[in-house]
Amino acid sequence: MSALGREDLERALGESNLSRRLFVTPLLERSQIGRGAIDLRLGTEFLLLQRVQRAGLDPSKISQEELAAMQERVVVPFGGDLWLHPRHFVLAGTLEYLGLPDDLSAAVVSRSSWGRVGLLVATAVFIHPGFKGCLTLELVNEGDAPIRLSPGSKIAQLELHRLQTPAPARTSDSAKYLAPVRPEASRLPAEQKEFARLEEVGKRLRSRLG
Amino acid sequence: MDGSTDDVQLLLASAGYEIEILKADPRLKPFDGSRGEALRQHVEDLIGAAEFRLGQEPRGEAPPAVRRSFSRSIRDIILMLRAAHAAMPWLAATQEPSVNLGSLYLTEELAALLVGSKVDLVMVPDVEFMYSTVSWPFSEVIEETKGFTPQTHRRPIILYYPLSDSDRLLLHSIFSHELGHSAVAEAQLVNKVNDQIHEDPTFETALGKAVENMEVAWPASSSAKISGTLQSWLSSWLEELLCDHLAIEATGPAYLWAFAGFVMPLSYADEHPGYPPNTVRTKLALDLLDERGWTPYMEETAPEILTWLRSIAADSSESLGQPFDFLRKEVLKRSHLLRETAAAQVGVGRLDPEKIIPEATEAAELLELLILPVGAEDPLTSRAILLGGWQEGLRVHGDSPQGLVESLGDNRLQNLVGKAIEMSAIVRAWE
Repeated sequence: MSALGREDLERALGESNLSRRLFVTPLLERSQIGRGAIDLRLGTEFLLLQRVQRAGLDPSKISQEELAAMQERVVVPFGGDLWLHPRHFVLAGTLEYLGLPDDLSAAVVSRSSWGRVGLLVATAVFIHPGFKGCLTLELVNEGDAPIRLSPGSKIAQLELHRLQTPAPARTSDSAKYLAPVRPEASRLPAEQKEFARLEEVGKRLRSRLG
Repeated sequence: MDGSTDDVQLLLASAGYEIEILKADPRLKPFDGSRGEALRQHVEDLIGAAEFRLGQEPRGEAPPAVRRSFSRSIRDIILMLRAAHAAMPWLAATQEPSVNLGSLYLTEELAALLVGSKVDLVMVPDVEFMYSTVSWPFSEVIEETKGFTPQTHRRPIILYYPLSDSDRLLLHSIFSHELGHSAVAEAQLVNKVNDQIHEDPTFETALGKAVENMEVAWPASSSAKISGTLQSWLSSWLEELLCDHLAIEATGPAYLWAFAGFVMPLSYADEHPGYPPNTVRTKLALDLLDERGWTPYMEETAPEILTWLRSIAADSSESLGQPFDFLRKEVLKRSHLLRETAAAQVGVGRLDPEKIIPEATEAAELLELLILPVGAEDPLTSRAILLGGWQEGLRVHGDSPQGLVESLGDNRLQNLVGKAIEMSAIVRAWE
């Protein structure tokens, strides 16, 4: 696996065969393409976890619908703001929609200029070959002052890597999960079987002692 | 007694109370940006007109007729002030839009194209499953208050859409029909068509015959009243058809496909004084699309749907009961006037198939690859993205009436279309 520099990125973005092209769209300025990464901007849709609706969030007990009900979708048009208060957590989408060909994977990294004012930008760091959609970013204000977030701000960077062997194409079954255009809630509730298994094993261990 | 001292005191107190609670509503305070500002000012104008009228209370020695007239006008004002509370959630909607941003930008573009730039578009989700519109909602009181000068001249247009349809972008070319009602009012388009109809002596003959027929069915009405009713119904039909024509000039086949998917299931050749049967609407829509050069594109994209629509249009030749058959014959006969009037209103902004089809096809190709169709090289226009969305929807879900409806249920496709239109607007604003 090799990292892509500016020239490689330009080539991947300009690939004439659309099914093999790297899409980062819209790319508002060519200067977003750096020496080894592409700047990503903050999108216009956010998911906020409501603090007063439930006692807490137990992923082993909550359904996907209940989790969705705990989150408020907020749309902030370009030109508007969202103030992120200290210790507040929000899911945000990238402005750019990504389309990775099967021979490229990617990683999202924070921009230190935001980190230095207290904003942590985490994500599902690794992006699989063939991914298509807007990325969901997890933003937390770890500073002491509220931070103004404006759609369109350069918030993170995308590093791309070429695979030695292209990944197999996605199956039609997985296709239904493709192409998100806004931040997506956690899919932890889909792992109920895993949580149940953990509980069962835990019970077994406890009864062995008793 | 109506207009007595007690009555007037009650009305003044009641109107004053309504004004105070409206003024106290935080949603009426000025806000950043122009979206919703004309509507806010329109409500302020209503309050200003009400206060102006309240200051004209007749003196105690005024004749009873004057006092009664005053109390009647204050009652009208109170009704309107109470109705103005409906505008508060509309104002809130302008600050936190619940409609898809892509749809909002597309509709603003359509409003500028169809009505002009002096509009304030307010999109409001509605519990009723229907698209509808109202503009200048409180103008009646403002206009009737002689001596009061309103502060806003930018038309507030409130567009209602079904709450569940906020992300159903493929349906949103229907907004262009709704905006058409404002265009018709602003430019007096029905009057223009009616004036030309009345220049044709055959119209008076046909109207006379229709009136004669109806004198038997409506024996209690005078011939003048019947004539007035028929001309009023004809005007309603002309307005609906003008809105269809404006929508087609603005969004091309995307409008007819949306109409077929949303409106056709509601009725077929039903007779109604407010709007023509769908058979007639479909025929005139197809005729306009054909005249504009869209037929080859529709034949290539969805030939079976075109055949189905043509069969519906063919039924427009079937007679209706009276007086609807008179209306049917008249609108079919005057279709050239509708086309000319709509074309003149939209002007150079009308959708040109030669320019837009390559863009729509590119959008459809990108959608097939699950890529946001903002443009592989140059940015695509919003109306091309919408049309490309339909093209891809019909490719995936099938060239059939069922495929057309299933396209409307394709959330992933419509999410991509909406986001692409939003991004297209941002790209153009960025340049």
